[in-house]
Amino acid sequence: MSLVRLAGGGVLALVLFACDAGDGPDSPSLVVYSSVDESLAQQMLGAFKADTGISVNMIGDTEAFKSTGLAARIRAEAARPLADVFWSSEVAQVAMLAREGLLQPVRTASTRNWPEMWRDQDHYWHGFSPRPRVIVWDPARLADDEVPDTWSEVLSDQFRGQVAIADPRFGTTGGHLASMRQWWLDQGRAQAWQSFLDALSRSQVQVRSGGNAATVDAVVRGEALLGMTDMDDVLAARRAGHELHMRLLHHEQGPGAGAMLTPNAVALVRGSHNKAEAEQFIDWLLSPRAARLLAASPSANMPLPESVRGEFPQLMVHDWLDVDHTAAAANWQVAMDEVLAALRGAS
Amino acid sequence: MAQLVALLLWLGLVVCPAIGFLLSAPGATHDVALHETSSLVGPTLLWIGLVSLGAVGVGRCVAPALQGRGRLLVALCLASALLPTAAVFWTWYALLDAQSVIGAAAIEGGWTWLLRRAVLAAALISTTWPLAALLLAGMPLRGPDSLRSLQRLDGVSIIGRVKAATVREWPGLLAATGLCAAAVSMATTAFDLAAEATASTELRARLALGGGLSQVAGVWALSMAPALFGAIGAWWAMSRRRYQGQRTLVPQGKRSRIWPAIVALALTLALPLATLLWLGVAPDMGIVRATIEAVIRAVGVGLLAAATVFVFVPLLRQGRYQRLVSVGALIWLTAALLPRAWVAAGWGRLQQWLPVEFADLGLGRAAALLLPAGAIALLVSAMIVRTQPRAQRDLRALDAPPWWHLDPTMIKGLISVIALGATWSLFAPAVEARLAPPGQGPPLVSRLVDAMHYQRPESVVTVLWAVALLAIAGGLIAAWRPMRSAMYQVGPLSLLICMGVWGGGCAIEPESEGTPPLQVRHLVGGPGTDPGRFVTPRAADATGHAVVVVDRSGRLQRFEWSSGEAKVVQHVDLPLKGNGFPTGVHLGDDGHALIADTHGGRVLQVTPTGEITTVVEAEATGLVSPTDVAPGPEGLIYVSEYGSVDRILVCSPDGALVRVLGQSGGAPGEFRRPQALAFDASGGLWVADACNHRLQRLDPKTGEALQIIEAGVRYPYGLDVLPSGDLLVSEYGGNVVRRIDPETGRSRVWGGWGDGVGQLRTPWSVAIDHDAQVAWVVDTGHDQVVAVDLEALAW
Repeated sequence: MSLVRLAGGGVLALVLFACDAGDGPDSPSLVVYSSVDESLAQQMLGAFKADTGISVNMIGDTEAFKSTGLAARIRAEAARPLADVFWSSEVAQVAMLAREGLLQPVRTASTRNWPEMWRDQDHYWHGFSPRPRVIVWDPARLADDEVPDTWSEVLSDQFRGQVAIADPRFGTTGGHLASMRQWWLDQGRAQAWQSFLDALSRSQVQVRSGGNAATVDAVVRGEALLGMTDMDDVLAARRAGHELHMRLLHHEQGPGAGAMLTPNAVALVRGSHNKAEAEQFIDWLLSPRAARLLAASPSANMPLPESVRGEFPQLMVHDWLDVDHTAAAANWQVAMDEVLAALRGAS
Repeated sequence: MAQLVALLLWLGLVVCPAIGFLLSAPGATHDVALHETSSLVGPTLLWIGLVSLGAVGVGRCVAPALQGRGRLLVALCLASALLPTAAVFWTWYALLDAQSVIGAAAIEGGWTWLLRRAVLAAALISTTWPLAALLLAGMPLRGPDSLRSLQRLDGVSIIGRVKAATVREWPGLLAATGLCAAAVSMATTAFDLAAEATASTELRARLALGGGLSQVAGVWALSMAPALFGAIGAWWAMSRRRYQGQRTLVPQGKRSRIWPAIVALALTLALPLATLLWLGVAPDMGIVRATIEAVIRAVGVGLLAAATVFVFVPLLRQGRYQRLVSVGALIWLTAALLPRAWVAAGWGRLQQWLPVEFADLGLGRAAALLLPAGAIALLVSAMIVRTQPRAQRDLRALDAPPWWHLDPTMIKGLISVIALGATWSLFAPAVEARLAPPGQGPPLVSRLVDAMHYQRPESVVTVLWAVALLAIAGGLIAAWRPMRSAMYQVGPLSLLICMGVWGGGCAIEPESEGTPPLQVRHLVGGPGTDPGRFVTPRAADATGHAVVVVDRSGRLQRFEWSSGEAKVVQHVDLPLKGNGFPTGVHLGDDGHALIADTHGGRVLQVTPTGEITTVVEAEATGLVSPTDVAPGPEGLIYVSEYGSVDRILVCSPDGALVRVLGQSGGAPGEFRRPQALAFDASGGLWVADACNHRLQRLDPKTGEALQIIEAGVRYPYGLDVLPSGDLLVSEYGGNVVRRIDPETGRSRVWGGWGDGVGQLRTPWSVAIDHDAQVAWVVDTGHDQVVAVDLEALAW
């Protein structure tokens, strides 16, 4: 009798464990690895399904490691990929996968005419709906006119130990620093980058694990005067009731040295079993409809299509950092080595 | 023999991910270290050491109550242990923000870093002390009962008595410390959220970046060493000592003190749950279903782990393969303390060579979660065997019952394994992120971590509540019947939960999922203080292709609406008194805007050229907190107010009081928070009676209520009248825009709670521009105002 009970318990255990094995694959479906906020991604995927009838299964990662974790997973699954599309909230990891040959080029009607600045040369990835990097501060502790105008000035002695940044090994912070380096090197000004590294080393920046949200929290809680973060994280904090100011800092005075815009990036994984649906999804993400949805969403991404720009004048950034995203991503690892050495040297 | 085979199979579980990882270990040539390992030694050991000691201390105080009285307290303890540490930390830290007394003092005094660490320590202790308490309650002690009474009679000091007790109870304390140390070193997400760099956070980062063995080994050793040391010590303590009798923490004939348990539970269970009320957020029903599914899956893991007990207990009892079992147990304990990211990566890699169904059914995830759950089963098995009284052991040797025979100790052990195994497998971000099958939707833990990072408190507290309630319910059911038939209860309980999920699944779909979103024609705003942006906009009015909006930053902005776009034409800082929260505005055809200055006790007028005058003042009329203003017949100005008194003041154009309509109450013609006013074509005055959840149509001369409509509105804050005579209401509580036909009472809603386009968060106001055929909805929670064509709001 007890054995029967026991066997029943074991079967029950397995049933419980696998009890929500998901819907059957009767409708066309896709697997998307996405490092975008899960709630936003679900809305977008719901809209895509409403428009096309294709259902999308999304896999994300924890906030701290987002794109990096998913990229590592794509590498590990190279022999038998699970993902069809990789939708990343920043470019560097996607570009690295492209160089490793883990992606396929996408040449469709939308991608063919996509602006060169926002895509890979051979159409391996396409950037869209960027959001700016900003400096955030609490107006109760720092007056607006005391806030520096450029990123280099943020690392000045005046703010030593008072600046918070997210872990540069992950997410948009690393992408931003790599882009800065690329921009200076492209202009033949390696010394400027070296000065920035030296300032980084001297400035005792607070490096926060927990991503950009932790950086904003440091400013809110008074542990730092300035925070280097994404605009959508500041908006989230404001929605939570915190009074914060932010500014899109320039990298230097003059045109083409303006705010850093971090685009979303989407790519087709090599070996995908649903190539047609995946390309349809990529086209949809690059369409004005998706741009409009993302602009109206809480993360307030800047729309790239001309037809949508007029509807969101408050989101338009007219002077951005004119950086070669592909090259920046290609040299991301080198940039990280230098940044980490500077930060470790400081501690 | 069968047990040996089973043991080897289980050990296979341990070895597989290691193989998988070694096969997949990339040879990263880049240095991925942000912190030097040596700089992490101090913080890591300090955190693990202090928290473990604190948890064991609390657990030791509570353990006697668990032994003496048991069941309900056990259920509550398990509920405390089940709460995810990161979420507990996040909710407590969110409560102590700048608006709170402690938070503000910390910011002012510059000791926020101390507050953060204190809250983290408290959160870690609150979720680990139950583990210590449950373990200590199950461990008997050496030495006679009389010793303690003698010490008390002799007048030995408290410190002396504690020292003596520690000597007596050291195996249990060591085991409990080891368990708590392991739990703390696994709480990586909590350390991440608290921005504390420890060995485990740095380890996970390096693994995520594909760090090679050489870069990972250092931090791995550091993060695992204390826990490993404690676990090995615990195994040694339990396997070397033989216990005489079943001496308990509570001397015979005495009742254990319950107040430590009550205090500990109040702080660690009641406090996180109460945050739902304190943070003042509505629950996120969409995540409840995911929570229930995750708990069921965790119970499944616990049941599978419980099967391990049947493997180890007979083996340990037989005594024939002691060395082999000990080695196997040590290997398993070590593997259980491996960082889960490592195990997840190993199984992920292995899944490449296995059939697709293995991944689709989530068997890889089950295997990864069985490692720590099985280790608990191992420790519990050892405890069951070693703590059996000698007499019983001899009887068993004579009787030789079958290996599946369940005696009370065995049942207690099984229930502990199921509960603790479920606890340790419920929130494992690294495993879920890597091994959850795509078809099952985003794992609960990923949604939870996202909610914490993107400031969605409603999701976080909903999960805490749901997990705690499920655990308490499960514990109560398990404790209800006699322990002997415990196995009967687990089965039906699990089935009940399963049925509840599938049967009641529709019932817990959030209602706003069925609400069609607004068809937004144009969107103005976004948070900010620049022209065209708002800080919590609360009121708007529109006429003649123009719309004015007032917000919490004390600004009035006027927009002109043409060909589908709104341009800012006026941007005025209002000379507001108090906190500056005007919640009502009226735009006249002449372009003059009347503003209800809620905290200033007056009504202001702003002309198109920017001149500001006061139209109605407190001294002349007794106005306290106006909410809305509407010009009415005969040139009179109608001002609604709430707070100390709920009524409508009728004033002449020069600010003199003419009459008062209504008073506070729920009867017809009375109000509780009249938030908005609107005149209809026949001269009737509609009032949004917000806290009575209704709309009233009044005779403007007498204040008599001519009609009252409820139509299911929840906190109607905004109100306007459509050309057809229908009403358009914005509901702060319902998060919808509702069209109501006053004659028939039928209504239709749009919007619904959410962050998608056309969804709303606490919309305060709605205004219709009859000339432009557009309705403006003030979507306060999103800091924006949206324009919707009137034809999109048709029946």
